[in-house]
Amino acid sequence: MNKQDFEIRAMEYLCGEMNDVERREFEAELKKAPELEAELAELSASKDLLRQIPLPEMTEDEPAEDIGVRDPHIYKLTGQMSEKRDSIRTIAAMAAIFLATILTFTFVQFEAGQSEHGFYVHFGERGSESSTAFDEQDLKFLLDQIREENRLLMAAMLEQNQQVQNAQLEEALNLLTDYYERQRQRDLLFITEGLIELEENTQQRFRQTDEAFVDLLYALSNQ
Amino acid sequence: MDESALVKEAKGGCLQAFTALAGRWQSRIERFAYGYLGDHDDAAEVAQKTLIRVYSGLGSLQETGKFSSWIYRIANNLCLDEMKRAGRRKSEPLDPILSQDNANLSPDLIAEQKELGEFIHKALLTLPEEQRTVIILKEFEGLKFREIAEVLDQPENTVKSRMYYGLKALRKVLSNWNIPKEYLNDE
Repeated sequence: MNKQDFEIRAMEYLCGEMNDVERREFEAELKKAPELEAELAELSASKDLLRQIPLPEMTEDEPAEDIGVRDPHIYKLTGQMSEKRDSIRTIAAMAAIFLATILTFTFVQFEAGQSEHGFYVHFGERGSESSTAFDEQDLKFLLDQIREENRLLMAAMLEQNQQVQNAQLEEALNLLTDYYERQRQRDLLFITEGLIELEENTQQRFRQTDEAFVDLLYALSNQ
Repeated sequence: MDESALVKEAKGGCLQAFTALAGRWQSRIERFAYGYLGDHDDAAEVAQKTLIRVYSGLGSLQETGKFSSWIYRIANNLCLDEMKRAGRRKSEPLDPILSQDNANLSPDLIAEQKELGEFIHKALLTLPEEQRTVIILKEFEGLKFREIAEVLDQPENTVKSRMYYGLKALRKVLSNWNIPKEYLNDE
């Protein structure tokens, strides 16, 4: 387990975002690396300290009475109106279907009857019977169709490849971003530590200067 | 009522639904902002501004299911604005703590004065804001790393990394403030 891997997994472990298998694996790996185990204990202690911070009480207002709760009378009235509206809609829909059927039969030359082969239903003008054999035009049409399908297939494959490449690129960019982010966080940590040390040193020097002044004043006053 | 349904209604212009949402979120945002800024008045102001922004921008919210990420993002941006406005990072790093003679603070004294929590909060406030935001959203608001990544629009691993360095930096700051070792170790 490298350092970066540890950082990520330690956080998942401490925040309870690992499943049982991952947790067991992580614990087993920790046993082989006592220094990482010690670091994890420190991180855990720091995390626990955060619970000491006094936060304002959460007053979660659940304003159920403000919303959704209405006069039951209104519900009753709206319910009756809704039922009435439903029945009107049903009647109107049936009438529309009936009218549409009559109009269709009138305008599309509907014909029904019985021939020597059985019953038939026919809409529109009767066409002449066509031959089932393929002629040159049909073949050309079929070839065009196959070509078009091949073209679409190729386009789909190219798009799929493009998507895979994009995903790979995105993943690589994410990894790079992660890397830079970690570097930045490290730098920030160093800077924070440096600032703290600088501040401590400055204070120390101030104290020393103050002491020197006091000594000097004491010496001068004695003279 | 389910939050997503409330958001839909509020988006449709229902004032009652918005009031209900505001009631649910106000104290939560205030707590988040307090964790971030360490000041009750500033936190209340941020919460109020957040709700105003939510009210005016609710129409632009595309996915009602992502309301919580959206509102935290607004609150986070407002906290950052507030910090920039007040120039806190420059003016309030360690002075209030180091000016005290904390080397003489015994664990008993700290416990008596109930100051440990405040010390830790002050230490948290010295962390870089990116680390602080992640720690607050994780520890105080109880969000999952995936949700925090959504709020901050960052990769999940970046969020975890910020949490790691944030905890390390917190420990370092507290050690430098001479907080007794027994508080820093989980023994």
